[in-house]
Amino acid sequence: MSMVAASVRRVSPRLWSVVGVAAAAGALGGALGTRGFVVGFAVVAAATQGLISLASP
Amino acid sequence: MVGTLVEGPGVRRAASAVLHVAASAVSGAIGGLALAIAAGLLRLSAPARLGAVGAIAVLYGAMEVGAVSLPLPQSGRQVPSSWRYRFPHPVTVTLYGGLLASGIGTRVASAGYVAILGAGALLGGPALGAAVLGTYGLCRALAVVIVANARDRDPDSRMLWGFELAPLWRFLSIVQTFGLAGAAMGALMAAAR
Repeated sequence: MSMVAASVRRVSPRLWSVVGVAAAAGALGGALGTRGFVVGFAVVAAATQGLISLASP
Repeated sequence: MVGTLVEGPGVRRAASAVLHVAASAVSGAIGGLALAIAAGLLRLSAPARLGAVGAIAVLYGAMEVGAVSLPLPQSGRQVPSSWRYRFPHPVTVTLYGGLLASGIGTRVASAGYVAILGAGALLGGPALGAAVLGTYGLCRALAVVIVANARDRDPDSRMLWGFELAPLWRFLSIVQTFGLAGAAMGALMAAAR
């Protein structure tokens, strides 16, 4: 558990704030749009991950 | 692998691009279909599926951030270079597209991809699984084809362009993985009300 806590502390506060904002925005969308929003989000995320695969040429 | 997409004159390149992208999209869709059918055997309720997608996204988002280390569903291998000599060129580019589409046949570029696998498997039925991973296969192959044929850089450095932008890809993956986690949890809570 302490290893996890140490790993979490190593990540910069700025990155955690990005994580928090993204999760909050997603939760708001999920709560408002329910399952349809999640499905749409997953398809868009799949397209983005396809692009991200360029990081491993 | 990229070299096979830029061989020969324009017509041959265009044909290679079409075959590679089509094979990747179809292979991704078949993979998503199979994954969703397999996940369907678990007979999870809709809230359990949303919860599982949220949990997978949180875990692999944490890996993307660098907070935890988790296993990735990948072989870690490159595409087989021997295929270039064993098969005719159109067959080779098609096979490369088909192998790369699922992501797990070679190397997974980003931990956030596992959240996409989870979403494709669990969010809906086989059709949705096919749509999610078919989209991934389509966009993955399209990105490679476009960058491989870019004219403003020399052939050797074209694919390194993607590697140079690794911090941007990581940022995008973090945002969308935690966005997906939040959306799944939000939908779960909305369904519970």
